Formats: sequence, C-alpha cells, structure tokens
Amino acid sequence: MIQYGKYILTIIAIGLGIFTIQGKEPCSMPYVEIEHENILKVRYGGIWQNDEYLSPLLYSGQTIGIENEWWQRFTKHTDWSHVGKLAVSGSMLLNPGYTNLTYGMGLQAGWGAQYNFSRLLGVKGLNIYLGPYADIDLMGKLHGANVNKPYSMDLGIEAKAHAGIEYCFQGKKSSYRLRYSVMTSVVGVMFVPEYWQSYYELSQQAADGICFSSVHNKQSVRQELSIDLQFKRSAWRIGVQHEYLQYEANHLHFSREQVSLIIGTSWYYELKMKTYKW
Amino acid sequence: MVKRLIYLSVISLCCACTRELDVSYPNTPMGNFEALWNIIDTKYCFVEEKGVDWNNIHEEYRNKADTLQNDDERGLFKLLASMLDSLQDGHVNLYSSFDVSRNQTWYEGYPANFNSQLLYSEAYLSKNYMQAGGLQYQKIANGQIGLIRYSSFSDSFTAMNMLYVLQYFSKCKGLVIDVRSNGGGSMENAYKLASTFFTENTTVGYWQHKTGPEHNAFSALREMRIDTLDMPCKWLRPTIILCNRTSYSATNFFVNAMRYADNALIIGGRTGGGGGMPLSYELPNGWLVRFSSIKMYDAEKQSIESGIAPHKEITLVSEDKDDIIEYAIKTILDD
Repeated sequence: MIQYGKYILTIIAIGLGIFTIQGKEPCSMPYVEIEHENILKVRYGGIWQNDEYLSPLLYSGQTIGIENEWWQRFTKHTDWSHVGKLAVSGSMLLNPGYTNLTYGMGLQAGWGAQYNFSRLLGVKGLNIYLGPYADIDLMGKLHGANVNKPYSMDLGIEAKAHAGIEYCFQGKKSSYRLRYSVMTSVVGVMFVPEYWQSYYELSQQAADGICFSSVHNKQSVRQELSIDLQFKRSAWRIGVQHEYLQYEANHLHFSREQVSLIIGTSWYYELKMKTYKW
Repeated sequence: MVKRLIYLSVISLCCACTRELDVSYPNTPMGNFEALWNIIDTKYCFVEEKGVDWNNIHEEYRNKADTLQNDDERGLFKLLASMLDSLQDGHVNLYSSFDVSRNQTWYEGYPANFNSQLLYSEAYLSKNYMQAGGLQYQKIANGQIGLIRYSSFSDSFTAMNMLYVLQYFSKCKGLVIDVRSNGGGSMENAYKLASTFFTENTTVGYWQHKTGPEHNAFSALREMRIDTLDMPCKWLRPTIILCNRTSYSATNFFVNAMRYADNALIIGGRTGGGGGMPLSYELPNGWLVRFSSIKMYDAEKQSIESGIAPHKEITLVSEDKDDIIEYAIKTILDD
C-alpha cells in the first residue's frame, strides 16, 4: 500500500506540473505568484421536477449533493481567471398524490473563463466578473412504476454565460466575502426523447433524441448567494443556491428547480510557477 | 452602490424562486376523467382497431363523472375502470393505491389448456425440477426430451443459465418449452430466449409507435430482429413451443418469433395477443394508467394484437395427463 502511495503522490506531482504551493522548499528558479481557490461544499434542499416523458405531474422532493469548485488567475493576463466545477447529487421525489416515486442522480461538470473588473472598478474589495462557460449537465431519472419506459434524463452540453459580484470587507472579528453569481444557458445540444419511445427503442436509437438547444427552447439559470467567513487561510461558506431549468422539444416539456442551502469550506492558495527559459 | 447591488441580487434570487405550477387538469373527478379520456384519445394506439367510438364514450361517462363527489375515490375508480373496460384490452389497466382494474374478456370463453397440477406431476416437471434463473427444467419421456417451463418473462435468466440447461439436455432428442399462461414481462428476455433457436439474424416482425395525438399518426415500421449474439449457446434439434390463450404480451411476441425459427413447432391454443407494447402515464390524482402504445406486427406485417394461431391446435381434455405435452413428446419421438 505504501508503495502504491508513492506512485499516487508521483502522479499528483506530475499532474500539478510546474505548480508548487508557496512555502515549499526554496528553488533557484524565478516564480510568478498565482492565486488559486478551491471550494468544497455540500448542499441540501428542495427539488421540483416535471418530466412529461415520465409523467405530466410536478414531482417534488429533496436533494443532497456535494460539489467542488475552483478558480485561479491566469498567469499573464491577471484580470482573467478560469473556473471549474464538479458536482454530484442525488434526489428523491414524489408525485402530488404521494403514490409514485422518482429517483434522480445528477452530475454537473464545467469549465470557464472570466474577466474580473476589480482593477477597473477601483473600489477596494469589490469585484464584478463576467465570462463564458462550457458545461455538461446530466440528471438521470428513474420512475420505477412506468411500464417500458422507466428511465429519463436531463442531458445538456452547453455554452453558458456566467457573471457575479463579490465584495470583501473587514468585520470586527473576521473578514467576510459576500458573493452572488449567476449562470445562464446560451447554446448547446441536449437529449430529449419522444414520448412514445420505450426504453428498448431509446437504447437502440439514442442518437435520435439529440436536439439543438438555445434560448428559444431551453432556459436555465443557476445562481448562488453566499457569504464567506475568513479564518486564516481557509474560509467557511454558507449560502443559498438556486437552479431553474426548463426546456421543450418533441412536444414535451421538462423543468427542474432546486433551492438548496449550502455549507462549505474554501482553501486559498498562492501558487508559484517556475518560469523556465527554453 | 454596493448596497444597491446586494439588494438587487437578493430580490432577483427571491423572484426566481417563485413560479407558476403547470398543471393541465385539476385533481377533481372531472379533471381526472378528462385527463384519462385524453390520454387514451391521444396516446392509445388501437382506438380505431377496437371499433370503439371514443367520442361517444366521452359523452356517456362525462355526466357520470360530473355527479361524483371529490372524496369519492372508489366511485371514481369504478367509473374510470368501466370506461377503460370498453376497450377490451388486457394491456389497459388503471392502478390506484387500493385497486387495479383489468379486462379479462380477451381470454374468457377460451379453453384453459393448462393445468399446473398435471405439469408438476411425476410424469413431467415433478417436484424435483431444477431451476436456472427463471427457467424450470426437467428431462421427461425417459430422459429423451427436455422440458423447460418458463412462467413469466419478468423472471430473468442469463446465457450461463441457458448453457447449463442445454448441457443437461445434450443427449435429448428434442426440447419442449412451455410458455402457457405466461402473461409476459420483459421483451429483452423474449428476444434472449428466442435467440437460442436462431443461427442467423432474422427479422421476425415490425413495430411502430405513435407520433402525434391523431388516431392514425404512426411512425414508419421498424424491424424487430432476432440477433443471434443475444444468446451465444444454440439449440438446433426439434423444439416445440406450448402456448394457450393466456400466453400474452411478451409471450405473444416470443411465440410469433418462434414461427420463424428453423426447427420449431407451435402447439396448444391461440395466444392471447397483447401485441401493443404498453406504456403508462399518470392522472392528476397520481393514479397510473397503462395502455397499449406501440403496435407490433409479424414479419408479414400483420398485426399480432389478436394473438398467434399455433401450427397445431391441441386442447387439454384429459384429467390424468397433459394432452398438449403428450402430443409434443409423440411428435419429437416420431420425428
């Protein structure tokens, strides 16, 4: 096991590439400082879902998830930073009559870049950012009572726009960061089955369900309001997250809405990159 | 400036959380009646074939639904079940928390052609039968013939299960597969079982699903093909399939597919049909309705909704022996 541990550490080291965390042993190479923040958070809340492929009814229930989010400034163009996210979630929903149940399993992953207006704004602690984002959103659904078509999913691969505003300020005992971010769909592809397709057919002809999506047939907004409480180099984050998604295709309407409380912790690093000369 | 932006963000978040619920029909007796009538009108695939004037049904039952009290769940269930019963389709059911409606006219008046006491007697499966997955099996006729009883296509089996069964029957002259009173289940199991008897990929039928709310809006026919790779082990000796009127749905499809196998004979009674693959949908009160939605045809593009006629019709009349199994034994041994 120890031997495997060495290999894992080697892989991590290679994965990190030329990055080293500040405070490691000094190196004769010159460094450039890079800001990096990693946020790990759990969320719990309510979910409402309408999937006309499975049922005409609005299902409601609970959702729980864990997600990891990070951002890092670009080394040369320091007004720009790039962000990434990986989130998994599970949900359980009931119909209004509490007679049928749907289970959901979600995966969201994305990467984007953002321009930070903090330098232009010139207000201490204030930053507004805006940028493009590429995202994959998968929510597999199981409706066990349905005959011959118990499965459905929200699946979209999209280009999105995201923006946010954050304000850092000093309190009596700690420093705080208030943050609001919002992300919305622009264009992409999504999977939408036809109502009459059984899962036998879907498994054989899944490609038939792939549709173009843009704001005309798909609208989504994902927003988060949070406050970070600074504690040395880590911070605790609490907030509320809201997601609304709706789309229509093949005469079917789909919607999903989630409102969750989030709690997480973030680590802030100042990475140093070796500037090799070739 | 900063405060204003923060207020704006909070207001925006709160506004986005409130939304209108999109419910087409209210959860009242009339709302549930209209929802059910509409589901059948727009999604059921046999409205025309059943010869039922669905608009007349609406008029007939609408007034009755109007008189029901909101809390009269059993009264509503009885009314809706009665409306569905007019379709005389075994694949049409209404599921509530207290009852399931079903139509039985499709097999009433037909001979049962099945007696489980006889099947599990010493002469046939006996009490010591073996079971591999959903397949019960035993050697009969002094070990000369293999007998497989498959009572539900909902009970799965693997290629390994089938391999062990066929190895056990390796010295038998033929095989009898009893799917009498098998009410169906998974089509995947039906494909898998049929594949055991095919050495070439074979088109055994077609299907088409609805494409819109109109009664005659259907997709183009698509092939239903037995893929030999679904079951790696093969049985090429004589095979006899036993079926009766309550061989239904996926079993109906299996029997249809076996008509195109190289060395298979179908005996017993006409199958029950159920050639419309069912889907389901919910009413506003959460009850589930199951209905035929995908039409299935044989390789000659004839509907299999009304059942498959056997190659040889045999009726079970004896009380001490299974006439249909006896005929199968005689046919294989005389071959």
